[in-house]
Amino acid sequence: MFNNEGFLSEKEFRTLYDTSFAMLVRISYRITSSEDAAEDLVHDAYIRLCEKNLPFPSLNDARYWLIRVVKNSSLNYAKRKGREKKAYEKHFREPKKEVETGLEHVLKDESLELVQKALDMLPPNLKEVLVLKEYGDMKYKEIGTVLGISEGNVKVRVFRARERLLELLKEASPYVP
Amino acid sequence: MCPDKELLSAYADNEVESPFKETLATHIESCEKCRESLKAFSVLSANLKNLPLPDFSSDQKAMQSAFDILLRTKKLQTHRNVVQIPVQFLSAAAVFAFVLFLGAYAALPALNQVQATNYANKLKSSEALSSQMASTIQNVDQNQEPLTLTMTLPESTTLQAFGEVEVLKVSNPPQGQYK
Repeated sequence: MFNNEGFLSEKEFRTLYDTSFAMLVRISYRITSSEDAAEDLVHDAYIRLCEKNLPFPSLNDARYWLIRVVKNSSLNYAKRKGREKKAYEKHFREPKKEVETGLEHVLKDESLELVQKALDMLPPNLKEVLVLKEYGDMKYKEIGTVLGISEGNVKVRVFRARERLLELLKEASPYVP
Repeated sequence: MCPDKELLSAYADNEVESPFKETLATHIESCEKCRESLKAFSVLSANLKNLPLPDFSSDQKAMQSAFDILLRTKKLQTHRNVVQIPVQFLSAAAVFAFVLFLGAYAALPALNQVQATNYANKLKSSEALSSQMASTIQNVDQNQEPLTLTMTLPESTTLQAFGEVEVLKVSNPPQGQYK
């Protein structure tokens, strides 16, 4: 497929774009929680791929490179936004909103909102594996390749992320399954 | 004995290989505690996947224009790659050019010396011609009648100092004195 010494041809680039865009945006959105940021960060990753014009042994390797770049830039974005939000709250002394946990509020939408909040509270090393697993539809081995860690380490991290999420959800609302 | 919860999490992801997979399945069927743990992981996965997601690919026109912009970047890059020279080659070329310049600068006086010697040799060889020239001028001086001399002078001005005059033809040569 890669006849030009591993460099992507226009056709290969199109295939890569068509098959990876939705997945990359999904991953980025789950980390950043911002539609605009997700689209921008994903397009930035494609631009970087074009500018660097790196040789890849296969299309899958190019895909892993993109996932790694999008994941890192999204985590950086979320971290920066988190810091900005904290600084803003500190400056204006706004009280943090308390999560309502009464039985009457435990509706489907709210339980999903809690899941999103719990996901945001995960440390980056756990969040990244779970996001890649759930939104990248990737196998443990592929996640290991993207993150540069062993398959066993991915298995442990996915489990810890789930345990942590379940704990957080239980704390937030004992009625949410 | 119940398996580690970590194994159940991997089982939920279909990441447990045979024959452990089958053994685990048999155990889960008979163990309520493990079934509950597995269910918790599965429900959590389903909830994560059910989180609302904006429809990013709804605007096909915008998608196409975004891709076109990307492709332009790629084309530009490919074009640029044609003339791209690795940094190490570039620096080697710069060093080579510098050495060449220094060498030329050092060799310049020597070249001048060679040039001067060449001119001196030429002058020596043209001594015979110069004596002819002297006798011609003497003849011109002695002759009362007007003479027409045709000469070819060297074109290069740099040769002026060491230039030689070639006598091609002397009109009305005095009979018996000059051939």
